[in-house]
Amino acid sequence: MGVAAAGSTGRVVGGVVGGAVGRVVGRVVGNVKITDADGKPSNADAIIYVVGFKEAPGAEITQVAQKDKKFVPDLVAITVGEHVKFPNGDAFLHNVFSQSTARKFDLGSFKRGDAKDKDFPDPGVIDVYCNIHPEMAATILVLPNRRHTKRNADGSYLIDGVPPGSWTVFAYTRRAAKPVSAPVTVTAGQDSLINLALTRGAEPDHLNKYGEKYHDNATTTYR
Amino acid sequence: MRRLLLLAMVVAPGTASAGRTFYGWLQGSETMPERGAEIGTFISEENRLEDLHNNRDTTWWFAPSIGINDQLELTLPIEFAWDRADNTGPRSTMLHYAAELKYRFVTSDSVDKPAFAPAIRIGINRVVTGSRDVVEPHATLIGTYEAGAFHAAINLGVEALVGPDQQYYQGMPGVGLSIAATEDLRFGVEAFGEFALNHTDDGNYSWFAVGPNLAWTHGRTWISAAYGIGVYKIRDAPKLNWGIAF
Repeated sequence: MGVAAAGSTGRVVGGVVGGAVGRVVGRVVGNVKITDADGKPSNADAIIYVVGFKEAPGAEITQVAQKDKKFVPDLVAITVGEHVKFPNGDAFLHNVFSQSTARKFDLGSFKRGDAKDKDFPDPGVIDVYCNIHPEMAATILVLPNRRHTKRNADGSYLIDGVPPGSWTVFAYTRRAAKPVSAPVTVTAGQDSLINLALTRGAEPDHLNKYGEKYHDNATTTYR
Repeated sequence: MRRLLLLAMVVAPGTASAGRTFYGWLQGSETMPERGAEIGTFISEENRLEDLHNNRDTTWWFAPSIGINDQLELTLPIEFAWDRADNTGPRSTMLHYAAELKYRFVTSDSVDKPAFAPAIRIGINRVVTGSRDVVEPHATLIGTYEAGAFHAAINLGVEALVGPDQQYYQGMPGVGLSIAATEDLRFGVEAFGEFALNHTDDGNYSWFAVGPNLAWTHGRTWISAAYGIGVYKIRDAPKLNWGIAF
């Protein structure tokens, strides 16, 4: 569980939250440990995020590429209202879709060099698949604010610009049964330490965009 | 030539439809996603009254549809007909092959799409019966409105049958309502007709019918049907549509 670090640096950090220049903010730091079902450490991506307040979206467009029959990266976090771009870098068609309640969409099939863009106006967990290649899966976390980050290779993370208050920190990784969370109290100018742990399982089966099982040899080379 | 032109007029309901619709006779505003493909077909009957020699015709229409982009769809139909009237024996024929484009003016994205979705469908049929010098250009303005389980549609279509000796023009208006009973099943009512915009020597082939409809979507397959009960110059006009997407 997490413990707010007391008397760390004592520094006052100026930050901008929701456009209010000059407000004083704090940081949430820590380590996220991920293990596979066999107990061995995993270097899978994890997103750590803080919920309890809203912020305006940024202008950046996140990319989830299709390359070597994989989504790269397969886990991203964006803020409500931001866009994700899906460029196809493979020499064959892909068809990106999602049946997640928070954001259903079907980008149709598009060829190498083409890219499709999709906006995400509501928060939620969006599972994205390819209707042609069942092995392709990705997750987009659509979050209420911009206080989210990916953990580093050593498992550490740092979220800057968190407004003072009592919030909840979550860690999410794909193939975990559910995200883990801990309450955090953020004090201006101080670091709040939260360590979390996740266990991953197998990639769950999914259906195609028609709600059917995928057929074998579903790859198409049509241009 | 004139007899063959009349045959084409009588057996040509001109109501081609592709892409999912909740109605029997009315077209919807949905289009295939880019590079999506669908095989669609319909069977329809027009069983007319005594002043049109009790003419009965059954039409079978079959077509692949392809999504050019998320708002534009190409359909390549072939149409066959069986026809019989009191003064003629039964006849079966391939009626025409055609090309149609359907353009949806607004996005079909499940979150961003507006409640009202206009679309237009244009096409041209190459009539293969008779002397082979008859074409049928047609166009339909489509408007749909969706709010929760409620769906409404309006179609304003026009079709011309153009031959060297005679031309025939008809309007094809229709309105319909559809209510979702479950996620996959819908029921409603619709009214549809064909109204001659000019008169031929042999009479007016207008008709109008009103009746119930239903629609069922199951995965990649959809079925819709309507049973038009004759209001003007027709006994009944049933129609069954079916499509499967790939």
